[in-house]
Amino acid sequence: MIIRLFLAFLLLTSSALAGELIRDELVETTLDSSLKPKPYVQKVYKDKLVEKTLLGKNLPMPVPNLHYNYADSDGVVVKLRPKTKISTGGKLRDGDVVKFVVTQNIVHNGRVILEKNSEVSAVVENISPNDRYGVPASIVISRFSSEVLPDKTLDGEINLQGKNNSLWVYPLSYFLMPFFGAGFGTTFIRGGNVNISPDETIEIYYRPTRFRTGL
Amino acid sequence: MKKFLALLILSTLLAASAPAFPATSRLFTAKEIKKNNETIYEIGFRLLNANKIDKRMTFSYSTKDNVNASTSHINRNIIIYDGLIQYISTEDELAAVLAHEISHAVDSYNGIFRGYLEFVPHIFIPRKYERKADQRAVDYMVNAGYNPVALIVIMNKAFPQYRYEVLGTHPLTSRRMAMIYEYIYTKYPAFLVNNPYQNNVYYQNFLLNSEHNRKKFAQKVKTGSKKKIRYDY
Repeated sequence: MIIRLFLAFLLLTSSALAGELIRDELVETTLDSSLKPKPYVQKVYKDKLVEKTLLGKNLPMPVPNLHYNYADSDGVVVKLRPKTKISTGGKLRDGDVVKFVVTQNIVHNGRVILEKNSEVSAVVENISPNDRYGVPASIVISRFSSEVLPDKTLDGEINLQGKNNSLWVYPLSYFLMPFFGAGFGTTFIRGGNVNISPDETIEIYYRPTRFRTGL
Repeated sequence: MKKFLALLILSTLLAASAPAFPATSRLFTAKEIKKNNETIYEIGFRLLNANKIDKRMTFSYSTKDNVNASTSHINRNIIIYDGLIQYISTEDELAAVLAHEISHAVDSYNGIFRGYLEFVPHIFIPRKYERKADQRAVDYMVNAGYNPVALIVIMNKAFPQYRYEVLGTHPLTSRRMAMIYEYIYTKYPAFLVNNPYQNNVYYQNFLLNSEHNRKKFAQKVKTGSKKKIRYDY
């Protein structure tokens, strides 16, 4: 009974215990009560470079290699040589097209599908220059294609790395460090470039059924 | 006729309410990925097959909360950590992370002793290999039917911004994103024109924070220069 009376007392006096709300008289007297904050609207940033330089151009979407048949391991070897020297030390950049020449007639099912000296193009997918501490350059060339063959029938990739000098630069830098920090001098030793001369032969494959497009 | 009209209206409404991601990009939550790690393996192997990568590697998920993924140079196992999974919300984004790691794993096959000593140059100039992995990731994603813009999206969402990169293993995230943008613009411009991530809040933030770097690149496009751009902090 005493507890119930105490709770009722608390309930009646709670507003008095809570204290009075402090009002902002300046706001109430000087500002318009109908003012409401504007709702947040996300600003959409536009890519002006894309709009200016790419929009409206005919840019086909690349076709992914999702329709492959790796059970088909047959392929006709296509021997190529570069038309001109390919080097990571030159002006080659990612996405550049490099030209190759077929070194002998390519025969499939008794028919010559690529004649000797015909041209094959490929794309420099990635080029990474040589660097300090003997770190080598590397190059990836793929997407071989010929005007006389259907798309995706030439299959191959060139993935080469220059001379890796870091394997001896690393121990040398440690060895030379006690001598007044001479190991830091190894910083300036660069790795090897990748050079593919027109005399070198590269092998890729002609695989007419391995990759399909237009499904 | 009424049925046809009803179907037409229904299909229009459904199309309008579709998410702003391409059809290839499934949406999923961290919980779903954790519950079913198969998603990680499937995407990983799809990237390998579509890119004709004949080097072996495996994929696994770790419960550690690092916001990272890594590749073991010893056994070519690619690990994606729970901390990073928390940030991933589309198939494209998961593919982006895995594609970057696949590039490292492919590199681990180069060199003498079956690539055993390949880690040495990675110690000296790690950022060069990170740049290469970012670019290869874009290629791998495109060949496997993923949208490479997702690589920028996941980076902007999950990777922090350090002050200096001198002692870091990775280039500054702002520079990485600018380089990836340049790479996509140059090699696969169609993805920037038909960009389903255009209104994505993380991509929008990239457009906001990369304005200065994109202006530098715009200048390069204008002049036709082939010089490498030193992107800003």
